[in-house]
Amino acid sequence: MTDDRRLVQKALEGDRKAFEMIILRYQQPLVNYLGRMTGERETALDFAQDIFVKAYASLDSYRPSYRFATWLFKIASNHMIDHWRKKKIPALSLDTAYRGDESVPGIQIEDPEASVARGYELAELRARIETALERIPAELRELFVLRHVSEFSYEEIAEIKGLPVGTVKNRVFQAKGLLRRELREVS
Amino acid sequence: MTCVPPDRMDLYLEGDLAGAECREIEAHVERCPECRRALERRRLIEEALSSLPAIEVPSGFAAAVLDRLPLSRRTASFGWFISAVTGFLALLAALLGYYLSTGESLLDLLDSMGRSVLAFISLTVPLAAKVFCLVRVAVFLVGDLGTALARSLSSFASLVGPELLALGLLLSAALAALTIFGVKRILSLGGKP
Repeated sequence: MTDDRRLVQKALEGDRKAFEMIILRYQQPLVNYLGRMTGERETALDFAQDIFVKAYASLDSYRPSYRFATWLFKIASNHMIDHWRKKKIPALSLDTAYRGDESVPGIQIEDPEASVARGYELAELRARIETALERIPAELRELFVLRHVSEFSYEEIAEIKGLPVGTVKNRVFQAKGLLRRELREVS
Repeated sequence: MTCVPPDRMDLYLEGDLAGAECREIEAHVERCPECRRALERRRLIEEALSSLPAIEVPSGFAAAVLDRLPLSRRTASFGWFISAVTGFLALLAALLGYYLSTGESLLDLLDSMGRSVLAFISLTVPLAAKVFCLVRVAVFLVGDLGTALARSLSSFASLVGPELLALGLLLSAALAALTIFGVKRILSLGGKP
């Protein structure tokens, strides 16, 4: 039994300290994911609270055969979908494949020869990525963030989103293409 | 080899390509500065992505979540028991309050409450029994009427024969249709301005 499963078991028996341990373990990855999805720290923190409360309420529906993180992020993903529905964010037609203009010369990043220069470039690039991420359609952004920020495997994302692995991979690549294009525009 | 297509490059970085194809791409990238730059660009973006700064979580975050949780999961599952105990204690408190404010004996109070309940039962039970009898009689009556109607129809059918019965039904239907359309026409004429 992994540590997470033991903590869940204790929490189910009424041990609040065990659930606090779960919160402390997952608060940072969850807030990072929500922050990148909403673009606002305060909203991300509010959502993270709501998600932990929801998780606690439905803790007995968690099946130990799954990874706890996958189960928790599934709740988070559904929470985000509800949020978008309420905000009426227009949905992107995911059947329309993105045709990234890859032949256009890429983003203007200097050839990273020195480590200092590379460090500077990385810092600058991170700032631009934060801006560019907000311009990617929400559905694609979510899959991209789950893969590259939360670092879930494609199989885990497929489980969280209830999509085939191939579709997840395809959409993450689509999102990457869009991000590169946005980065060119942001720069 | 021609330049590496973008999707192959992504698959290469994901480690999704077979060894032979990987080596082919690596050999091409060695020779092609444009593909080398493209690959380097992708690596840099991936590195930047994996090192995005964490969003600060306040130190009291976990405590704030715990404050929003119900008292305990056990409390939730024995909620009915706690409600029953609370109700009983509230009743006791009310009785005690009554005793302290009026000075009347609790036994007298319970006795008068019992009498009221008995009076209510003695009034409502005979009434309910009478209503039940009436409903029962009505059901029997309707049942008998239905049986009698069915029998008379059956004897009528045996007397007139199937041809006459069919003719009778047809004429009845025609009469009903004429009546309906006639009434409708009269109504529509009457409705004109």
